[in-house]
Amino acid sequence: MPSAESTSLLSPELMARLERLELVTRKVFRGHLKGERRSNRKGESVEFADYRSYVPGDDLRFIDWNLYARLDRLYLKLFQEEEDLHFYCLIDASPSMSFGNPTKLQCAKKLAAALGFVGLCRSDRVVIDTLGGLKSSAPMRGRAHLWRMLEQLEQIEADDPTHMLEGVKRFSLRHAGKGIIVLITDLMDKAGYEAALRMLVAKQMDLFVIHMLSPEELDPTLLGDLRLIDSEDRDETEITVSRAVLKKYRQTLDQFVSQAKQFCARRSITYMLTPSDRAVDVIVTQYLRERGLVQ
Amino acid sequence: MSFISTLPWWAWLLFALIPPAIIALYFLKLRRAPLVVPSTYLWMRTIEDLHVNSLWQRLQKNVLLYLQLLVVALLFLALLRPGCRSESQLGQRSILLIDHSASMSASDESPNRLTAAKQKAIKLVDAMASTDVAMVISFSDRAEVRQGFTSDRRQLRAAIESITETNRITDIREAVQAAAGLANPGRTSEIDNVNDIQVAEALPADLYVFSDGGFDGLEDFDLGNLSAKYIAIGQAEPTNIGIVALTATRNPEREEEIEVYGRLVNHSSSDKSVTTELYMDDVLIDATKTTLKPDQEAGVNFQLRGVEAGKLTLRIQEKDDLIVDNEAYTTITPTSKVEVLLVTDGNRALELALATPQAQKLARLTVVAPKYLDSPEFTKANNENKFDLIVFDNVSPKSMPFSNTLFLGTPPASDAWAFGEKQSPVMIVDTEKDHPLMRYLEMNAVQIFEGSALKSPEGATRLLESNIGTIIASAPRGPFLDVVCSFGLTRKENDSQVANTDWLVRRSFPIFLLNALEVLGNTDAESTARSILPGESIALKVGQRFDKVEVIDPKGNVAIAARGSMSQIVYSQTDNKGIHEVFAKDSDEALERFSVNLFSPRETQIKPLAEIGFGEEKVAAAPAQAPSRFEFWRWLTAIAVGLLTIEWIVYLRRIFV
Repeated sequence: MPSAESTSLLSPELMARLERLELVTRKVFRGHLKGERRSNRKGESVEFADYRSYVPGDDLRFIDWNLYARLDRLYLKLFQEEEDLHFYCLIDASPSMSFGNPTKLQCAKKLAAALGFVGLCRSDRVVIDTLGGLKSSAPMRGRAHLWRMLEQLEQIEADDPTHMLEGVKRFSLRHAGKGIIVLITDLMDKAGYEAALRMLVAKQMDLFVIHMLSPEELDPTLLGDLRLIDSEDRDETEITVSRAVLKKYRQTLDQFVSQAKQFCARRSITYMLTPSDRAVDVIVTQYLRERGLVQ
Repeated sequence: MSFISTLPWWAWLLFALIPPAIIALYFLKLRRAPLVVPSTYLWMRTIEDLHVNSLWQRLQKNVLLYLQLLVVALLFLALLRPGCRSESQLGQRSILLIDHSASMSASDESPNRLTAAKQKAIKLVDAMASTDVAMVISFSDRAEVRQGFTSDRRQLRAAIESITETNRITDIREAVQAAAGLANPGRTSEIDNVNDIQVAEALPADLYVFSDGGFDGLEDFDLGNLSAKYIAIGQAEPTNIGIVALTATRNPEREEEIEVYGRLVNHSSSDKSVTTELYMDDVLIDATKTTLKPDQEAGVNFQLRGVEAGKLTLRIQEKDDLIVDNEAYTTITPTSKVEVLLVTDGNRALELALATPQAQKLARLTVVAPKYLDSPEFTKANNENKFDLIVFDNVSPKSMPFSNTLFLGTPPASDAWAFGEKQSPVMIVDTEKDHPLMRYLEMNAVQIFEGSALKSPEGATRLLESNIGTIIASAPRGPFLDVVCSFGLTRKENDSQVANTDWLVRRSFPIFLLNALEVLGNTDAESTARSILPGESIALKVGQRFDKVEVIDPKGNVAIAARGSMSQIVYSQTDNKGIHEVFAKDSDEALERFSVNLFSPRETQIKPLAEIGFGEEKVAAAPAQAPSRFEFWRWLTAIAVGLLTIEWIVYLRRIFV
């Protein structure tokens, strides 16, 4: 198990703060293994859920004998099943995420590491993946897998030109389970992000979109005659940037963010815009807490 | 359609480099700084209204270039000065004669005739082809070549613009002679001159005369290779009433009475009733009303009493087209007498001749003995320039006095003058009757007993010749004039004075002395100042006494007039009308006054002539509007400026959209 100092993604202080948190979902999903989370299924746990009439074949251990004594009828005690949670962290590793200081990708990786650590601590099934797909994106469970998760995250590079929709399709095929998906992306896909998000919503998953933009994108300082080269498709745009054009850009950005927020709100997707230079612990412990991802 | 090159070849070469430079700069401008950004998604959305459709986008990408090239092309065309030429333009060689005499100040053309003439001349110059040459001569009473032959329209325009109004009269002859000298090389325009031969190839030229035709003197002029065109300036029916004469004379019977006489002329097409006012030192003292028929002259009389001296102004209170002749000026000078000193041992006849009533009117006589010349009183009086004339009768001073002198019987104290041996008898042979000293004199019968031949300095005027040579001569001595008579009026015989000539009893003797008082005494029988025409030169009377004087003109300008190498002071800065006053240095009292008046019936008649004559050739007035050439360059320049504005708007839209 790697020590906390061996990775730049998680600091010991942050880990200490994250240990007290847990991932929260607004939906209750069926897990594969017994976990620390109540399931909507009745099962074997210590938490009472309901009674039902006994039918032959039921486990006699769960008959409420006290009730039988009073009512002279056999009732079976049902207990809340406690299952594990599927937590998927889907990172957009396109070249556009390599901008900013620190880069948007670095910030995304830190955020994924933090959330993944919270999940691992609570014995949730944690899956780290990118839109392009990692070689190994097997689920991890338990703190023992922390090193593997960090190793996976460290290997992610901003060289994945996959479009969002294709990436989500691939992700959906690879991971059939339901749970929480945290999509960390800049939404800068010329083909549009809407179809991809609709597909994730269709999986009946609890979707969080963390819209990460660099300060240069939020408040550009460009000026003069420029030939802008798109880092993803190398598309070139000639532009004479003046104050008026910058003003127009900010209006366009506000409109873009507003549209994304509205789109997410209509589909019960939790949307959060964050600059890439914001501290991860602040994002997790403050913003995501406010939005109900962690508690 | 024709073009006029406005630039030299090298300038065109430089201009031709501008379009490639613009294209090069445009491509340089396209070399934008590349910058990799996360995504151009938002930027594209930002500027997507600039990319509405690909055709417009392509056009818009280059529209600035197209506009700039179009502007340059239009300026290029404008510099070529395209235009429609008419056949009545300036010839290849043109001479523009512009009249700026007093009559050209008439305001029947707006603002005046001279400005109208200049505008028409400038129009002609503007219509010149680039290979045409022209010159500009202005003329009033004298001609001035303002600009020699040149094809530079800017210089020609500047030369025309530099012509200003004057109060002078018109004399075109000098100007057309200068023009003819350039068009007819070797010609002097003198018909009977046998030496008038062609020495160079004739260069025909068009002569444009911008004038109202108020001149003459071209009756014997031959235009030769000149082709004259007369552009009449002025309206056909101008209105002008002018003063053509003004005098003020003392009544010979009653000196306290002064008669002022002015003469008016009406050069209008209708009867005019004018009020003429007489001002004395700018104070109205009299006025009279006169009615004048068209082209009629009439006099106005004023009588002044008890006036010693003053400046008189006669003014017409009538608004007309020429105001310069509506005022006339003169002065009344106080009666002053010539201070005459007679130095003699006693000459009754001479004293009597200088005491005639006429002589007494002119002069105040002081008779002294020769020893007075050695007295301090004489030295003081001499230094103060008290005496206008000193008559030396058989006496010669040790040094020449500071005044005019008349020596009778003795030579002046100067080596330049000398008497020969006394000879007898002396027979008078010839009299210089044209000289003011000798006018009205009949000397042939005068008998002289003895006399000497007179040796006079260089430049002397021989006034009386005899069988023994010159016996009376005059010669200038600096500012003074010396007259020497080599025979005495009396001679000593047996210790007594006897007459040496019978001239003393003849009528010519007092007349000679009266002439001497008038000429040598600087007196003037007239009680008014001399009047000259504007621009005319005047010989100042005080010039005999001073080497340098100050002349103050009516506008208060002070000019220094010096004798120079001449025997008299000639003053020529007489362009301003009015009274000019002459002062000695550090003196407050005017030594002399003269008036400058436009007493010119020719200038007062401002109706432009329908035709002017050059010898036998008559040239009719050309149409009022000057031939012109329709130019497109202004329109082209205006379009270029408009395109430049559009280009700027397009540029701004690209920046600020």
